[in-house]
Amino acid sequence: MSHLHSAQAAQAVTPITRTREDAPFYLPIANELAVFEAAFLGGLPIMLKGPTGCGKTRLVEHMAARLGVPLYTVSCHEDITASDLVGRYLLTGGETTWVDGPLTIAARGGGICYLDEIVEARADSTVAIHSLADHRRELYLERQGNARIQAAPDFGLVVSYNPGYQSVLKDLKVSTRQRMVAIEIDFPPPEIEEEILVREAAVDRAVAAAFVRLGQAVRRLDHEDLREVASPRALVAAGVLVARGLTPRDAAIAAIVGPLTDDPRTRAGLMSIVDAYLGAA
Amino acid sequence: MTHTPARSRRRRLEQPRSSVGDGAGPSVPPDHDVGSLGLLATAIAQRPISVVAGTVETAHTDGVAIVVPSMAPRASLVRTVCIQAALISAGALDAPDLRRVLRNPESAGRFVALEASRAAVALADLLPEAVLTELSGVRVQAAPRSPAESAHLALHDRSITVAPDHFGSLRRPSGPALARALRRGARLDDDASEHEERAEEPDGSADAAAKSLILVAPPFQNPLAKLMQSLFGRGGSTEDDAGGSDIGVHSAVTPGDEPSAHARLVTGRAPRSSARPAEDCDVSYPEWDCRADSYRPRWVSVSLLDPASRADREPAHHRPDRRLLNAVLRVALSPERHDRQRAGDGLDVNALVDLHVARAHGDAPDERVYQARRRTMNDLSLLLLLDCSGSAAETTGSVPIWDRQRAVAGDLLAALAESGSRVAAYGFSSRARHVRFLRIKRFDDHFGHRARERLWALEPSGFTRMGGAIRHASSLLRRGADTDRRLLVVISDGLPYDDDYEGTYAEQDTRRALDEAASSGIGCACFAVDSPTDRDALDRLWGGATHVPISSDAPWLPRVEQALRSALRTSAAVHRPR
Repeated sequence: MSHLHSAQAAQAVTPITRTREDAPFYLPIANELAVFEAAFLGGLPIMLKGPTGCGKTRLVEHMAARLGVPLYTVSCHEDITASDLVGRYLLTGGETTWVDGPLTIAARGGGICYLDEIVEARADSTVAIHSLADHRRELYLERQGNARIQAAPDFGLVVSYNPGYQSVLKDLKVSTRQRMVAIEIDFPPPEIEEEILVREAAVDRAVAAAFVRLGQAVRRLDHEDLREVASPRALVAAGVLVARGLTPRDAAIAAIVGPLTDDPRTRAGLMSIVDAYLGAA
Repeated sequence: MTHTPARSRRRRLEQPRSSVGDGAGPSVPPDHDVGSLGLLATAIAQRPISVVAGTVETAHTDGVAIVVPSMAPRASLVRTVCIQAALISAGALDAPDLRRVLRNPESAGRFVALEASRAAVALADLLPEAVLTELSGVRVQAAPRSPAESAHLALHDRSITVAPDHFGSLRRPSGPALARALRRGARLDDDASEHEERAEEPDGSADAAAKSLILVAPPFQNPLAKLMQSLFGRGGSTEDDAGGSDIGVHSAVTPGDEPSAHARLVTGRAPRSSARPAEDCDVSYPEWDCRADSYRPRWVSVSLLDPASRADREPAHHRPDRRLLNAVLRVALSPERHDRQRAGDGLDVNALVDLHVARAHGDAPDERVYQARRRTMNDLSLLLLLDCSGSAAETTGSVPIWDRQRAVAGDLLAALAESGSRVAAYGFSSRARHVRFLRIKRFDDHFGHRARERLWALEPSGFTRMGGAIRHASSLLRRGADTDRRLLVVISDGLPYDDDYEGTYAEQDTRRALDEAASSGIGCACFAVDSPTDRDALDRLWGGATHVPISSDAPWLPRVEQALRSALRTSAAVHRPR
């Protein structure tokens, strides 16, 4: 086994490493930054919960930069296997080479491994994180002769998921949940959302305020009418369009109404909300 | 502001209709545009509000629908809807003295002004800027902090300025049933809007007359139907499922104190009973009245109870019958992918790579490199409804039907629980328009000793209002079981029967409920155990759903599997958006 190489997977997985100075913009709603930092420094895994588009990924990117560690992001889906996370052998010209997966790289060299939408992956694929997630902070590499890696001190495990979205069957296993520190990222209050729009989309405050109010109205709709509601991300997208020359109304139709529904009646209903907040055509 | 002279009103009438949002300026909006404002009103008021056009000068609302002048330009319609919805949201219609306040136009106008200013404060973060400016522009000397305070001030302080016309006016909430059930998308037909006008009384104290709505919808695959389903099932389901359910709704008529003339005009027949709708309770369902060809909203109430425990009864122990279990498994399991198999149709590439690596290192190779699809995934949910009405206490032969029914239920439950499907079971019986669901096992309960005790504690009594039971069971299935395959199995001995619920009426309502279930993706089957009821009658009742007569002296296993499959096929034929 000693002749096996574990190549630094520079060619397979590239981390995002930023400095503190160009940390991506993130405006906290509550004490989430403090909780994140405390959990990371304390070696505890973190679970980010909240609706889509509210800033979970942005929070992780921001904190990785502030903490000065590389960030390895995995967008989870049903076909993800344990090998995708831990690593696999590649066949290169008749030889076999072991290549670390993002989880292993982060565990070895330090950094945050971020499993986005972890519930989408099958449970047997994510079982690898259990030993990393509890006090052992160890990773087992079965295929590498049961090598055991002790996680680096600045290794951090972060997962995210959207609680409202999942079906009964696809919930996070209790054994997984219990190991995590939870941070809830919900829709921001209006004044914070307005500030986010101004900073992210570079629109003026009046337009931002109108979009925020529109978002508030749409979010009051029961889920029977809409499967999703307008996330901060959607509002920012509308703002970006305005900054690039579209009218607020056109931007709202493109970035908010269009993505939310295909049903013509619902669309007409959303248009009346656009009319109310951004003026009729 | 909205009082336009007759001349310009006429001019506007002659303008060609324009489509939504083309910015052509004020024009006569087509009907459905007005309906689409319902979503705006719903968002602001945070409860379902519909918007309908009427031949009125100014808008008014009763908390359920907002009636707007049909000839107004869209921009002003939008603003008016915002203002009216804001009033509703702030709770203006909950004022204790509302009847007195609304009795004369001056106090009503003062009340609207006061409530408008209060709404501006309460909804400062929500309302559009322009609307906020308007609402807070209405100067009131005193700042009321509640609807009650506004009412008091409106009645006693005559110095308060009356609200401008375009804020609209308020009406006392009318007959709760259909009123609360109204949703955007409902279209008031022309006759009705005329009737609306006739019904308006100068002192505003008349209860709103019966509104008649024609909801044009083919029986299935109706985009409105999803709204209607959640509307009618609103009492029952707090979180609706992802799947749309399609029911045909031909027309809906408000039950009023006496049948309204207009109701007769539209449906051709007065409602049979003038009884008031079911009591306000958490869970209620409509009932289909085949004679009026419409639903009776919130007609049946349902409650859930635990059966009274019987210390003297020892529950029979149901060991799952192996053959029954296999039959259930055959129905319940669907294919899923298995990796690292000795044989299969495809190759598992990861396993292949490992094989090569092992060979290269001189290790013993693991030759399970195939991928296979096998039926191992259980994605079936089933809700068992056991008819506990008094008719089951009858005896044919030595053992009461009831005991045989219960035994079949127990056997089925044991097999289902063993199979790993999601299972729930309830006994049900009814009395007048109230249905009781008696818990044997909820979806998340374990089928253990306690569940068996509950099953054996059940006693037949009461009657069988089948439609309501089926609707509630469907709602439970949608909420509690998010699997691809869903089944509702009713174990019942006979025909539905209750107060005001028998014969063709009951049969049609039951069939309607079954159709609703099927179109929301739930397969239905009935097992009639040793039933004395005429087979043909039962077949007619269950119609498309599968009906299996079971008698204790003939093998029923193969029929069970067949029935469940056939039920699944029926529901699978309907596309369910997830």
